[in-house]
Amino acid sequence: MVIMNTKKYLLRSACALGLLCGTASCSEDELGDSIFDTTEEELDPTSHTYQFDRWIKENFTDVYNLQFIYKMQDAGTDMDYNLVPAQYDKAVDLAVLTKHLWFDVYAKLVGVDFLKQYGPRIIHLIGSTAVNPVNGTEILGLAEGGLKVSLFRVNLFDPEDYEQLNEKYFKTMHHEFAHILHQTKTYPKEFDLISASHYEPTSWQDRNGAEMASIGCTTCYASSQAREDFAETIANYITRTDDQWNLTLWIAGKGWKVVEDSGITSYLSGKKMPSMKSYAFSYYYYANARDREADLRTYVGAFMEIDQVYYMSDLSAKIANGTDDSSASGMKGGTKLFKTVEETEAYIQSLRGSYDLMPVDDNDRVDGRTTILQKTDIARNWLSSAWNLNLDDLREEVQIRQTTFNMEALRNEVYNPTDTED
Amino acid sequence: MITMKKFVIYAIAALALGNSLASCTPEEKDLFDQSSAERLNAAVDRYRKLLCSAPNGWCMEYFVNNDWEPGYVYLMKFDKSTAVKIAADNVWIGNKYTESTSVFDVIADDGPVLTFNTFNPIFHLFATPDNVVGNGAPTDPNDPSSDLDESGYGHRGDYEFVIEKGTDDMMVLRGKKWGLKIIMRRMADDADWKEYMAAFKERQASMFSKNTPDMRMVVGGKAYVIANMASGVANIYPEGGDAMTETIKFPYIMTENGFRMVRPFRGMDSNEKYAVQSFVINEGHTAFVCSDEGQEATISNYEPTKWLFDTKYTWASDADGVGGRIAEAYAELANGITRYGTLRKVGLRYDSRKHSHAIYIETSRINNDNNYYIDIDQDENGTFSMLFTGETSDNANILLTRVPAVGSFIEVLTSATYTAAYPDGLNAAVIKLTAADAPDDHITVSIQ
Repeated sequence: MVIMNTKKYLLRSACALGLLCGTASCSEDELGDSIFDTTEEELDPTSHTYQFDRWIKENFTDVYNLQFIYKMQDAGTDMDYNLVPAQYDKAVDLAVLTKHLWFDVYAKLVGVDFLKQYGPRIIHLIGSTAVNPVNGTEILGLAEGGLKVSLFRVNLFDPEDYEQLNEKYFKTMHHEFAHILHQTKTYPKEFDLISASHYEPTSWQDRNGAEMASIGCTTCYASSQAREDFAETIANYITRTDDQWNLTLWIAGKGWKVVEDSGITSYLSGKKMPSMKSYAFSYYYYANARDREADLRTYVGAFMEIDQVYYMSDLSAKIANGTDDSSASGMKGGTKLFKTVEETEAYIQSLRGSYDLMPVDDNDRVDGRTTILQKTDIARNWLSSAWNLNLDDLREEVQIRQTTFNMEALRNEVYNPTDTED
Repeated sequence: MITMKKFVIYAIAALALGNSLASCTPEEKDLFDQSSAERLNAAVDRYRKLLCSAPNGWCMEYFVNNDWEPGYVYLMKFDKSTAVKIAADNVWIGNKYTESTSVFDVIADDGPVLTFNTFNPIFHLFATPDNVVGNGAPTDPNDPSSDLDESGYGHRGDYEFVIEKGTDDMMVLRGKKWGLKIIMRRMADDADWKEYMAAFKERQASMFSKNTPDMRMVVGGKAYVIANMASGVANIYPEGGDAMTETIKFPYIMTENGFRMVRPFRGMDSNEKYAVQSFVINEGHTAFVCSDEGQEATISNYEPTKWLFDTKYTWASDADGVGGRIAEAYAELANGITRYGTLRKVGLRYDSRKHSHAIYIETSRINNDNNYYIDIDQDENGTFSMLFTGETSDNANILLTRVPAVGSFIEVLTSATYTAAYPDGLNAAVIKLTAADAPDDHITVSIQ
């Protein structure tokens, strides 16, 4: 027994000693400094991009803890797409406008801390479009996990083209931020139910904007799924001008005859007007007794979507009703665009003087106008209760800023900072 | 007990020692002085300095991942401020020498990576996903009248490159997305960029003019036809094979003394033992020889008469291209024919309606129906004669009957036996015919 005990003791001692020895011999492997360079990179005043890098540091990094990445990092992109970097001067333009039209708006309304806490951690600029080669759809922006926002087609950025700026950049910023907010605090589930039976996640790009407004979606993309509808409702309400928003609601209140017709496409192409996948008309008349007898309708009140901006136009086309042949003929007009409800109504009124104008049946069983306003109300209440944000104040501030910004002055913040400070 | 104790102590000591060795030996043995991350960072620093060390920059031989367009030359000057000045001159920027500055960096990614990370319009145009349109754009193989839709893909070019190797004179890169090998060579310190680019274009134009006939490559005991070199893409198919169905395409780029294809040619099924990619012109300027280590291949012209009497080519000469008796006859022709316009050129062509070869004489007023039909008599050594059949087309007949110098010229040209050769080395678009028994009598014709 003793020996046995001694043996046990010795074995335990040996194990302990071995362990100790092993531990002692490895003490050199204690975690030391990281093998990676963890020092904060100082800006190099001799760098080619120093002015812009300093502006970003002072206005985004130091204030909002935001990385504003304009030098392309393809590791941070979807490699299925073929993308190119942003052009330097375009990146500068978009950076100063991002601050002016997005960050400064929220800073003014709810304070800097709001975006510091909920704003994106990374904004990544991409120069090219992100075109999916398979279905031809194009991504304008991405918000990933509430942390990173990618903005595309920066190289096509033209500060002189206000409507394009609004639709393709500013709206995207608010759209992506709406995603970030609802990814943090969910919006009411009742929103998802309103248009639940109308969403088409895979074929939304083939739909017509007027027809989608008529079922209560502010854009075709909004008709893809509920969360996109939610972000589009907020973004369009904020960025569309009064004229554009009212025209959206007017369009939403109509019924539409939608046709896909290559004849109209080639007709418009001859007029040097952009073509669409489908064409939608809101009124019709019979040009003469023979047409009436044959139910050959002349459709007017045509919807046009150019670079995602909604217009009405004077395009008209004859289309037989009630037959298999819906091909259009006798196209006229198509060059005059109406940007407001007033212009559109005046045009419709002028037609009434000559023809017995009939509205196209709105047979989708949805009051599009009421639906869009209902969705806007839900977004308005949610922003107020969840975020203490007043949607209408937000819209007003954005509307003022996006129509009054001075591009040169904003650029000077980067290129001539002392002038600006003076 | 004492013995037992000693044994136990020794055992403990041995165990402890063993334990110690076993626990740490593998981790303590350093294969490298630095960690992998430190080595990568060191490589990044080294390549950044290497790029900036060339005072006159680098010449990049750039390829994109499609088989319808050639390689392109870019000149690049890297500055430690991260600015990079880029110059190019190609069809996509209006065939005009253009410089543009943007930003670069060397980053630690999949190894050290050279990235051009802000947009440069003359470089990133090959990586944009926009449809390729305009002069030079590919046509749809199923519908040659319409452009191929490249939306979402564009040219398929890279702007990020893994640096595989770098020396003072050369850097070997690999496109990160499309995987093509790209080489950069250090520019001579005193080279003028604009002149360098102009010389490059001149070399391409003189080596392979638009009408350059097919060439012949012999490699691994097999012969291949190389067609359409002027397009910047070598169209290769086996000799005797079908060009329509068997052609495989190898975009290439001119180098200082030859050309390099985008990838090695390994036979029609890519399973031969050889792999030939780079060629340089030989001393006599009669052939391209493969310059890849351990590879043997030559690219040379077919016999001149193959093209001289090919039905698809029209050949022409003028006063600068004739010598001896032919020059005298040409001068008399020029004087005698003035009533019918100024003599422009003479030459050989094939009349497909008549199914016959012909000599033609063209003036400022007569440029059709001006054929003097000939039969070709060629022997095994390649010498040949052109025998006037006496038949002519309508306008030719008028001249023949009314202008004596026309008959004399045809008589001089058709009375000799000729040998044919390429006077401009590899340029098969120019052929010199020399009278076998009177070397001073010659006429040099070029493809129209």
